[in-house]
Amino acid sequence: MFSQRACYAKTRNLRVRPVPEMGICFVFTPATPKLYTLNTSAWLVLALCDGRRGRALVDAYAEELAPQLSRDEALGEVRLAVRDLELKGIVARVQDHG
Amino acid sequence: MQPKFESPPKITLSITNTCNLECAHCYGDCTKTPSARELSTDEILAFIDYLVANDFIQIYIEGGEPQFRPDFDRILAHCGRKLMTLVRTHGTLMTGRAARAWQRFGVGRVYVDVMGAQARTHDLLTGVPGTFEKSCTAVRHLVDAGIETDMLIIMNRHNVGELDAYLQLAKSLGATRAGILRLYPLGRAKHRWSELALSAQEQDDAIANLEPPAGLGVMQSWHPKDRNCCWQAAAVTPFGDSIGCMYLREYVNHGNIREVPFLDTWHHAPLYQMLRAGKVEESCNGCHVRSHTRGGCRSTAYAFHGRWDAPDPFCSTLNQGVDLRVLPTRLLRQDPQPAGPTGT
Repeated sequence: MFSQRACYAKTRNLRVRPVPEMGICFVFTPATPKLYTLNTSAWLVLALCDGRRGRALVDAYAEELAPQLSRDEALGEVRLAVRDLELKGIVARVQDHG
Repeated sequence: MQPKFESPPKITLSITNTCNLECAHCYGDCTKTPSARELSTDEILAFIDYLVANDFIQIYIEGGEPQFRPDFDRILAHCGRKLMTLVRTHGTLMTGRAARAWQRFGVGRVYVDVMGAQARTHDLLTGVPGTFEKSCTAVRHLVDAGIETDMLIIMNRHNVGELDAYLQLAKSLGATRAGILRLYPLGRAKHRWSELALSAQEQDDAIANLEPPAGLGVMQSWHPKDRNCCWQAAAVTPFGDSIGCMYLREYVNHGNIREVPFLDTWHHAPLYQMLRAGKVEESCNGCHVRSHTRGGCRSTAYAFHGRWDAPDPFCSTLNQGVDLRVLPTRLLRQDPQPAGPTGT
């Protein structure tokens, strides 16, 4: 369950291969091991998962996509993306080091 | 519009042309002892490092039989946690211990060649009695070790009547998917073509009548799924030749990685660029809608028509009356000269 108070970061040893010419990003999770293809939305969320809190994640996502997306819409998309990325072992909750 | 990679994220590496079997359908004309031209262990490990440094994310390792190389575990250990690692094997050298080691190395998926639903068919095609049981056992070992495993079958006259039984077998062994592959006129297969090949209609009927069990994925590339994969194709032979796709092994050579960096062949070999551009004479709308590519497989198009932009006769809408049971005589010449780096 996505929380705006929790902090999110990429998992260890992840390999990320952006393919901007096709609007996708490949992610290899060596621990599993699996290869995933992220769309631009999930790719942006992944890029923003640098240890910041969920609330800041939504703010940054909304800012990137403004004015097409409201903050509420951004919250909905980030919630879905983070849940999916967590299930795949691509991002995880981390302790707040800020 | 043809999809396009600025640089390839995935590659196929054939690490040997050696094998312990005598398959009728062998595309590599494999031998028991390696050629002195095969890439050494150090060369392969260095090439894997090159791939990682250049942002590749997946490697598909095949042969020959990869496990027939004594250094195969070392190769797997080197790439398993750096690249999504896929392996194609016939599995006859697999043990439970080896499967568990592959899992520890980080192998992500294994494709096991099983050429029929029964021992009689499979062993006839591999030329070695007892191999059906070994290949099936390999699937069980790999599944038990927790590795995603698929089974592959090259559809031909000997096994076409048992495809549904094959799908049931794959399901019972714990395979995730079964891949039904077309027969390519390469290696030993082309010299036994009249024994093995099916007409286009026979192939279409076999695919149309498949009844896969619930929960088993089926991969196949007949209409409307005949893709032109060249746009993303990157492959290197056991001798270091960059050839785009393993099914082009007898037709092209874009340069050797001992002499030029692999990505130089990707960026600069004219034939490689031309094939990736996907310019073809004719395309099937159904296959185009499904695959977003045009013209179907370039290997079989070139094999039967001798032109890189020809339609693929394995697609029923592009067949144009080509009898797939009869090979053009030029393919049966000894040592056909592959096109050079300039595409000449």
